[in-house]
Amino acid sequence: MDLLAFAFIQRALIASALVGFSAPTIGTYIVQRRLSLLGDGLGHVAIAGVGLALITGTTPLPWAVAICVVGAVLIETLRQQGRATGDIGLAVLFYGGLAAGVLMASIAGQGAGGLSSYLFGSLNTISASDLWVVGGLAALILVVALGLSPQLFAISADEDFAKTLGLPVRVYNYVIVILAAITVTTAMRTVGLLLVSALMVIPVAAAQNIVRGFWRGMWTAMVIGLIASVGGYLASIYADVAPGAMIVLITIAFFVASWPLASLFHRHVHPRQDDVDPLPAPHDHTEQHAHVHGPGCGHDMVQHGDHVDYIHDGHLHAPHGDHYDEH
Amino acid sequence: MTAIDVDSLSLSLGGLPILKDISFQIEEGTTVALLGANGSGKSTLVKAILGLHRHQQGTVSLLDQPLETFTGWDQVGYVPQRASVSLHSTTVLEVVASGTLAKRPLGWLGGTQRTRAMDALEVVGLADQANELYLHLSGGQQQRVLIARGVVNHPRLIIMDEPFAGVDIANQTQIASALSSVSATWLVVLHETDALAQHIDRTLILRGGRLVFDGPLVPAPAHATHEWEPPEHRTLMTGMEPRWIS
Repeated sequence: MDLLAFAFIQRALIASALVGFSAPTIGTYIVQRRLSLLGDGLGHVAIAGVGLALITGTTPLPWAVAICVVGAVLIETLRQQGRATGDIGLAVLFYGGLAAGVLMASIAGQGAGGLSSYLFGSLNTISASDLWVVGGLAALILVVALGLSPQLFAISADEDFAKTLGLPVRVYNYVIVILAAITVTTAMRTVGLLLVSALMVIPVAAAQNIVRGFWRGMWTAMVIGLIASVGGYLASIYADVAPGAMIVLITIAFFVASWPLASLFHRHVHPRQDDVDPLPAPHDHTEQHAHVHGPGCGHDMVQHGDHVDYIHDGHLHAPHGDHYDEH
Repeated sequence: MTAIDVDSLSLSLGGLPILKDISFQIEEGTTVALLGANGSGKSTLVKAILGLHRHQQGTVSLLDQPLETFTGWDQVGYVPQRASVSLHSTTVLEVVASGTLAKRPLGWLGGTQRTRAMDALEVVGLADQANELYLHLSGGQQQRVLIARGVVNHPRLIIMDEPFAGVDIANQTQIASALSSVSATWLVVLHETDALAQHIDRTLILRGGRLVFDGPLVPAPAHATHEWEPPEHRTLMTGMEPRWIS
């Protein structure tokens, strides 16, 4: 325990706790929107901010936050205009950010090696001023992400429906990506920009395996993130290994452990008997029919051996001469 | 009062004209079925009425307010197509309670919102499933959850997009029963009218993005074409005079 007496270790512990607790909040919205790799992309963009700081000889965190927020706004604008669907714009932005960062680092005379403490984290070198910034940003993430949780949940779950509630959906979409950008940069000194997405997303996936519901999932993910971050850092200092990697591997261990628990916690409810149409006997005939089944008729098609059945009112219709067989 | 007023509405998506010069009015208290074959523009029209697709020409008013400045969203309930909604890791109660945000756009969801959500689940017969995951329900039950979410604020106008798609007969009956128990103006996009036939006051038929029929309920689509055909007998059921649109 003597190691815990060192101020730099105390700072690192506090930073890892703050990041571990706050990252899964915004991760929950990102997972709900099926944008799990957004954090990874934003991590690449933030590298340009670090490169800019190395060139100007200033503190990297504010630069990284600014560049990452600008990148996030750009990504969301592309998405809202429907121009990001081909992923090309995103790819240009993400890899452009990475290349620009490496280029600027080499111009600053540090080469790619100068970036490594930001790519993979460097918890043990966190200064007191860094810790204040991390603390302030984590507080901002928690206040906004939890304070607006019903609204952010509504737009993450069903954007069109949220619009019909009169919610300012565009504004909230920007809030989510800006919070994601801030989370990424807050975490760059703990797990690093290349691993940050894991801390945002994997605790959420683990939590969803063991609890039901959006808000329970969010709180559980925050606790998993906290335990994995603090536990991972402590394990790393005693094992003398890279803390960022250890934190992420412990997060993944939580996910792997949650997998078998999923079947215990998630009792699959089958439709009640009175909710299911009685199935017709195999190969009953249906003479009367509202229309001819065919591609695009509105009924789902299912390949069935040498023919195609159409799902009709919960059972299958197979065209056969002038009638339909009930399958 | 006019619940929906659509005047000379035209809309293109990606340069492709989808809706062409559509005009109709729906008076409060009526139940209107919007019919048409796949690709006729039914869902696009519904989304244009709700402002989810921006129209290029014409005007839309909801509850006597222009859509552009419409503020009464708590009086409008929208039930989207089930297939268009992705709600994983979310309980039924959470889904339905999210609908109350129209009445209370800021702040956390409290006991009042949960009570409202439970009341709406009672209407669709799913109160006992409130804490179940939405994705664990059958397709028909999921549709009923979306209906509960749409009616949670007791809206005056409810717009439903294909509520019976992939839903078995038992659930269709329960949906129709829920519909009849909620007093509102209904605009329902349908593929087949059977389950709702007794509730429908009026039908609008779209073909190729144009409104081709506005009148009483028409018979089932003609065998073999799957296009909604003009009624053989002009004075069926309601006695309402159909309006033919060229």
